[in-house]
Amino acid sequence: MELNGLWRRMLCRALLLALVALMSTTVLAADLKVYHDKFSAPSWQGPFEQMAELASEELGITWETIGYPTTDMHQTAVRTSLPSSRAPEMFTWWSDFRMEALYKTGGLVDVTEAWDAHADEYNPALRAAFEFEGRVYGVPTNLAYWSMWYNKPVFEKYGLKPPKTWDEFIEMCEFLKGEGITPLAHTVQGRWPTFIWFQELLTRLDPDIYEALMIGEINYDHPTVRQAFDIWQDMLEKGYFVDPGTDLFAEVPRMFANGQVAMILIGDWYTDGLDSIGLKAGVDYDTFVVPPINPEVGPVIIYEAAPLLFSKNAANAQYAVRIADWWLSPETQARWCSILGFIPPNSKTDASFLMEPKKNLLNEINEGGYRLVNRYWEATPTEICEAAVDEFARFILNPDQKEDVINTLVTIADRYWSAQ
Amino acid sequence: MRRALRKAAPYIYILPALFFVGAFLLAPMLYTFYLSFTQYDLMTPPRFIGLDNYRRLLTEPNFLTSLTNTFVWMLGTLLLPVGLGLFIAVVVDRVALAGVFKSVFYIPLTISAVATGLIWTWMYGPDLGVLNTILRAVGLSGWARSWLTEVPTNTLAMIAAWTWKMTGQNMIIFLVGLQAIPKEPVEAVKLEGATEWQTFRYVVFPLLRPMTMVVVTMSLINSLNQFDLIYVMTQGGPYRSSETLAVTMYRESFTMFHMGYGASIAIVLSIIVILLSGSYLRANLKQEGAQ
Repeated sequence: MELNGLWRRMLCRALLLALVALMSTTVLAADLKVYHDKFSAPSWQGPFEQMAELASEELGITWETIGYPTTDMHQTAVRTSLPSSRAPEMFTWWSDFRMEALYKTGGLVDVTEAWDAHADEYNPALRAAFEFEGRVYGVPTNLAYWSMWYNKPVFEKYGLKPPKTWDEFIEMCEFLKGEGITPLAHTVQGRWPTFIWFQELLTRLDPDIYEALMIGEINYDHPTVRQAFDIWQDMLEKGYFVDPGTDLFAEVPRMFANGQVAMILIGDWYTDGLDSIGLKAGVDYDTFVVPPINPEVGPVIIYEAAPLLFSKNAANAQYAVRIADWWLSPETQARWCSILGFIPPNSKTDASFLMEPKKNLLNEINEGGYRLVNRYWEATPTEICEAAVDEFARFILNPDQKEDVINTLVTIADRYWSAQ
Repeated sequence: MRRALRKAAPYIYILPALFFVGAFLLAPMLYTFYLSFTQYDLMTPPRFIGLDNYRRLLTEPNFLTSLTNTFVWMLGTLLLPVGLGLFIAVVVDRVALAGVFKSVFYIPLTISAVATGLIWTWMYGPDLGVLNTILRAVGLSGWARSWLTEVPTNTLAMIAAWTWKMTGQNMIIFLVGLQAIPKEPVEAVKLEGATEWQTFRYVVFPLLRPMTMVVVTMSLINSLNQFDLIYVMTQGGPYRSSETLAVTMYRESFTMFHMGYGASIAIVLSIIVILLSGSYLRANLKQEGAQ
């Protein structure tokens, strides 16, 4: 009898606890927020909402998705709310130095514990992009690899094959130019794309020098950096590139589609734009990694890692590690990446959903022992980067001003690093 | 009691307006003024740094470029959309099918500055742009160029786009003015043997002064605050060559998050707008009073 009473009391308590848990989940559902900067094309609004549904099923946690149409608006919203309890629980951001100012406020949740649970599933270079003083503060929303996307019918017409050496690559550019096809795309429109060829050439010469330059161990007048500028100048003067006023997103895809330009060096997210004008992956376009200029360098590829960060001051910050752990899992990554067509950063994720060129690229990176190097935009301090992209534009438009551009970059970098 | 209430009534009526002006105009202005003496990144509290932001303005080469471009925009918009608006108004005023012409010139104004910027960016495209395609088709390949990356062509090209958008508005205001001019003085000077130009120069144009004041003041303020069209078309580039003060202010505040420095540019810009538009209005009103 007494035992029955005890069981009854325990059952009541268990029911009460379950009820409380259920209620707290319901309250939580309305309270969590995620801010993102991809409200316009390619939109992440729908994908985040789908992930909220999945999180609701699997974790009993869900969120409201709030998208901002421009990165400026998104950054302003995050920065103003981060120090307060109005901060969103999660928000998209940029890695490395772009993250540093936020980390320094102490407003980010440390999710190292979640990363440790998935240590064998991720390339350490990716973790490092979100790491400060040995602790990790974000999980990946996108890991993009920067390779050369080429017009397949043009290559087939002239019997061209993806080059294995830098000399072969330059020979191919020269040949295409002779056939009246502009070999390469680039632009100064939109400011940021001007760093693309600088980072590519320098990493093909020496990735150690590139990384040393990014963190101020050497300056822009280093002989290898100068060599990168020399090669770039030579390519510009030989006419390998389209007019730098060409819009990379509005004009280049159409020029690429009609065979006016043969190759575009960019992150793998760019394929959305190619698909949107009716091109077919693997049929109309494919990709290869630019070969090293210095053969001793070995295989190197630029990556771009975009994180989802967690606000420490947010009302429901206590769920950050749990969500991070779930987000990092191979299954969640499969769901997120398959919605957006991204290459999964988790090595245990089934990547069979990927389009053929991306699948092949991923296999090549995994099997070829590639060294991953972070993109210029995030790898160097924002103060330097924002000024440097304007100087790169000046160089692209006026290659004869190379010395002046290098000297200005040296001054910009000196001023920044001496103040640290 | 009732007398006191009657006396206070007007003040009570203006209270709502006073509240809105105070909260949404004066308070942000004062806060911007305060921020201009601080270093602030939106995440950590503002730190007072005295006149450092203003000192930086004097030493920053990009500020000088922005200032120069702002004045180029000011001159350009006074010469083109205002001058052309006046010219078209005078012509349209005396032709048949005036209504059709008015509509044609007015339509671009109904398109937002952002859409105008996008349309003209495509038109200025170096390879597939309409402008270069036409130039190449008519054998003027030498004139085809990269309109938005060559300096100072890029600023002039954007002023042309702005002219396309704004001429219609100025034309309509001038037309209203032209139609309000009494016929007697015009006919009188014609009877005296004045030419068309003399009639316009000495009778019509002086009588248009109130409308000219409105158009010039609006153009001055719009040109000095020019932002959206430039931001869409070049973002102030390449290498900050087409930035105006408004674009530099935005870039410093919302790209670099140098809110204090951005605020100091806003203050300088406001002073320039107040000084120029204020002195123009005062000079004209004084002349009007003298007449």
